[in-house]
Amino acid sequence: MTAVIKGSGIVKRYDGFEALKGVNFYVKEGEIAGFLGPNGAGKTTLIKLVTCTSFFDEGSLTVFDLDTKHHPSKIKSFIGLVPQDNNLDPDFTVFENLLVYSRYFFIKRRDAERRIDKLLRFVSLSDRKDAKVNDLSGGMKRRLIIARSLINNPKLLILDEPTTGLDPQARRHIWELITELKKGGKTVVLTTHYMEEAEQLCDRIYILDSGKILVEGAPKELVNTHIGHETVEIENCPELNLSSIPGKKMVYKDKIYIHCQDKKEVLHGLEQLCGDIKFVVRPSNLEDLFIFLTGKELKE
Amino acid sequence: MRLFMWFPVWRRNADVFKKLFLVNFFLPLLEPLFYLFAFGFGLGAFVRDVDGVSYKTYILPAIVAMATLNASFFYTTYSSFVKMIFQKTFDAIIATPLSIEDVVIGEIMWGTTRGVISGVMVLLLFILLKLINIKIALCYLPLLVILSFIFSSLGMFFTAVVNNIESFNYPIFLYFTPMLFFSGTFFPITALPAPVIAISYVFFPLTIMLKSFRTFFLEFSLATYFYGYLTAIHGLFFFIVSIKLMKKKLFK
Repeated sequence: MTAVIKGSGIVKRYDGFEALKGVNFYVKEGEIAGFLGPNGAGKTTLIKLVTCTSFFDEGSLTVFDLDTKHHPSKIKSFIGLVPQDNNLDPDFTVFENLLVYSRYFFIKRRDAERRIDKLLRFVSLSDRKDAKVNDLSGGMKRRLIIARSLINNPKLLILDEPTTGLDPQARRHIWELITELKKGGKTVVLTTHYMEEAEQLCDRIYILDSGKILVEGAPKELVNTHIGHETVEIENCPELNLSSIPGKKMVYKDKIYIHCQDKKEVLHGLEQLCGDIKFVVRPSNLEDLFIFLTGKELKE
Repeated sequence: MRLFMWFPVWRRNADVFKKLFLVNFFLPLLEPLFYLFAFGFGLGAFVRDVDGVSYKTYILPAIVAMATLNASFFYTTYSSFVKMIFQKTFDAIIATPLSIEDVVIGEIMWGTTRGVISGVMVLLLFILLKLINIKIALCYLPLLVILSFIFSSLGMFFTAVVNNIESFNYPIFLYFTPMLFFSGTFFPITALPAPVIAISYVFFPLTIMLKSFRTFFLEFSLATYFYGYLTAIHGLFFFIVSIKLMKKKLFK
């Protein structure tokens, strides 16, 4: 295994507040690694550290075996970043945005133009080449930022909440692009608070909450090992005594969730308890796991 | 290579400037003309000679200097601030091999260039109007670069210090505006009380700069001309301090 990113014992403080409380993580070459967590979990802080745009107080972090504290410029030349906020240059057109950005990597104009043509085709924006950035839709802006992040042909692509605020169609388009990039051999780091996004795209995920990594692994396996692959949802009513029912029970808001490997026993138990109970059976997902681990929802 | 990493930032700003050529270039040229007519010809008609020259001639260097430092100071204050906070352009750039230092230096360098462009435009205008001769104008040029650099760096210093865009009112009303009046722009500061003169010499580099400019109209002194170059120390000071402060502000 070649690890592109290696972080150990990373502590990051902002004026006394600990944003990261000693996290250990790694990202393998060629995989899509997801960092999942609610707002304020420390996802963006982590990304800032990897992209060398912030410093940390304790621990060590290497990207491509280079120390982020000593080789920021070199590391950044291998990275493409899609930041959480759209920070396209409003003074320029679509094409100019990419051209101006290529200069920050000292790419020659002729090479840059060839590359921009290719990238605009890749993100389906060729026909908007001369449009002003502010005339683009939210999805188009996001795609342009993805094109921009690829201008230096990076080995490592970092996507900080790439689809937040987009409609389902635009989101799917971005997912397709990310999958395509992975096939092209890029290593991808992705943060999100959409569990479907993580389930669809990521080979491996880290779930974070308040500056700590709670669990790590492949999405399906994580759900399976921690809570079982099926979930029975029933309305919460106080008279119900569920002690005879197997599975991991979790009361959250006005529902009871029973997570289990096999629904049969649970359903049988429920039937014996009272005949006309209303329930829904569905596959367990990351959201269930997250609520089970923290008692909170991913999305706020 | 490291030494010129700021150049793409400078070039980005130059590109934006070219796009808005008319707004950036010709419109600001009107202000010095208004000064010339209102003070030079208007007020000048009622004022006797100052320091041995006509009032119109007296204020010419001030008009050139003000056009220069206005352009550079307002570039690295409002324009840089908007790019840093609202457009997040700095964030986009520091995700590339460029560092915060490169961004800040690129901004200050462009602010300097911007001021020099304005100053040179006014000089050309005055040459065309036969108010100033080319030789003197050429002697002004290096001083304009220094003046522009000082105010570009100073502007960046304030950008690093303020927390919101409204706070620029502090440096503008407490420093910038008084400087425009009390550094020998429209009248010799010798007319003012001694403490004010002292403050003017210490805190307003424009005072020394204008003395240096005016030596060409009065009895010429090479020493006075070169004093103007010494004000570069102000520029260097704020250049270094603003880079340090910006790094602290953006690299958390």
